[in-house]
Amino acid sequence: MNPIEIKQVSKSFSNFSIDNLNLKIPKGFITGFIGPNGSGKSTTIHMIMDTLKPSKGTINLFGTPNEHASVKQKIGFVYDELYMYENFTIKKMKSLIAPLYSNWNPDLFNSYLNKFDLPIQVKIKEFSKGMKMKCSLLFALSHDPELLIMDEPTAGLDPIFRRELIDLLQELMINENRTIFFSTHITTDLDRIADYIVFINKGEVVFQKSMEEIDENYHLIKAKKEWLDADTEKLFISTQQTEQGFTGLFEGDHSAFTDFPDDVVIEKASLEDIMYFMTR
Amino acid sequence: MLSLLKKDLVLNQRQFIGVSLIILITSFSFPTAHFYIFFSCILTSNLFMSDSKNHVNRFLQSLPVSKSLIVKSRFIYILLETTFFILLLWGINAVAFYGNASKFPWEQIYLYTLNDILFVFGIVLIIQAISIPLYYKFDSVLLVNSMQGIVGAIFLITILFGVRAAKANFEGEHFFASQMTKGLMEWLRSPVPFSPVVLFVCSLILFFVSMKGSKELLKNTTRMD
Repeated sequence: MNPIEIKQVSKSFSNFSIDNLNLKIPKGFITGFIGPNGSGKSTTIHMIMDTLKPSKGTINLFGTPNEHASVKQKIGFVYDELYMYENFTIKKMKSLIAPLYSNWNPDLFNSYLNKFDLPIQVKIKEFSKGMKMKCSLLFALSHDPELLIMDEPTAGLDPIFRRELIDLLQELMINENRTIFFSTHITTDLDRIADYIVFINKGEVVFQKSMEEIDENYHLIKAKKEWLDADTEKLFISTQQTEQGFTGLFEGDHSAFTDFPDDVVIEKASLEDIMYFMTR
Repeated sequence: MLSLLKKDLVLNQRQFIGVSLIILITSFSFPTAHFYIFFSCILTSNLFMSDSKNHVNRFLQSLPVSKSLIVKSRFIYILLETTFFILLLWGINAVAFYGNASKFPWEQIYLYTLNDILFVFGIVLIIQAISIPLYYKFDSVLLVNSMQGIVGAIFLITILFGVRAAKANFEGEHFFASQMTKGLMEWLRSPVPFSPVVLFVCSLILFFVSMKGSKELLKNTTRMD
């Protein structure tokens, strides 16, 4: 059973809409949810967490409609901000949150509290951005969730903490039953850890592929300008031209280009390259 | 449910103690019932102010707790809080009236009747029943500020006009605090065409309907923070 299944979900705002979104997130993997700012990542996560009602469609978590609060026993969530009363301390937060989870693990809570080196009696408003993120993680992980949903958790964090977070997520995946759904527009965070990628743009899923498929199928082709004409341009998803030449994103078997090693440079496309060329 | 109720108490802790002290101190010389209406509404709006300011509803709704329970616990907390204040007010008023009768002139303290208590309690419940769904619908700091401004203005206006009306009956005589309180209560009750009992029963029904409506509003959230 997939931890997340989204069927025919639509949601409209005055300046943006999601139309007939379909998505299945596989169990036991890290799935990166990428897209430019305003592409619908946060809206989708809002709808998954049932903090925003879709206009139509259904969302199931572990086969249960997401409106059922009990299914959230299995979910840990981390948002781009710590949406908690700024005058609360970790101690007060714990007294509110711990009783709500049937599988709350005080030992796990204490171990993460020590690992993250967080003060228990200091008000949240005194926390730095990194501390707030650690605090979110502390509460997201202390009930040992099967599914961890993260909405832009690395936004605004320094590279060192971003690296630590990625390492922590890798450690969490030792548990084979765990699934992580991780939205970000900083795609380099996912290059190291993601098993699958869902790419969303303007409210539509552009693709959902494994990292292996992406590695094999997407390449950057760099060549001189003379190589580019109306026919060759159709081979690429999109191209970027400069005075010296052009770069194009190519999807599929790139072996045809290997016959011209002196004229053409072939490189693996990073997620950032793919996102850049596909949204141009 | 218990942890959600506790959360609201922790959130309102200081104001809760503050209002209890105000009721305690002012019961001897001010129209405390009038203060009770004002402070009960302000305390409720403060809860929603904290929610909106910190976008807490997003966090709460992500926890394994139903939206119905989030709303229900908030309504129950507000009902418990307002009930506590009215009982405190009534209790202190009675203690002050009977306990100090030998020390102070009788006129110094007005003994609230059951009708007075039901009337102010009903008024508070009606204001809460109208304002809470608005807080859930709009989840906005601006709205909470506006509501606090409106409640504050009504409080001042009613105090001014109520006391003036009460004083008019005592021209040339010494105007005791008890007469001010009594006159103010009569002035407040005069435009209401029902008995305080009917008003109170209606306010309870309205409060219950408001809770149901607020649950639906939160379930059907169509707006992002």
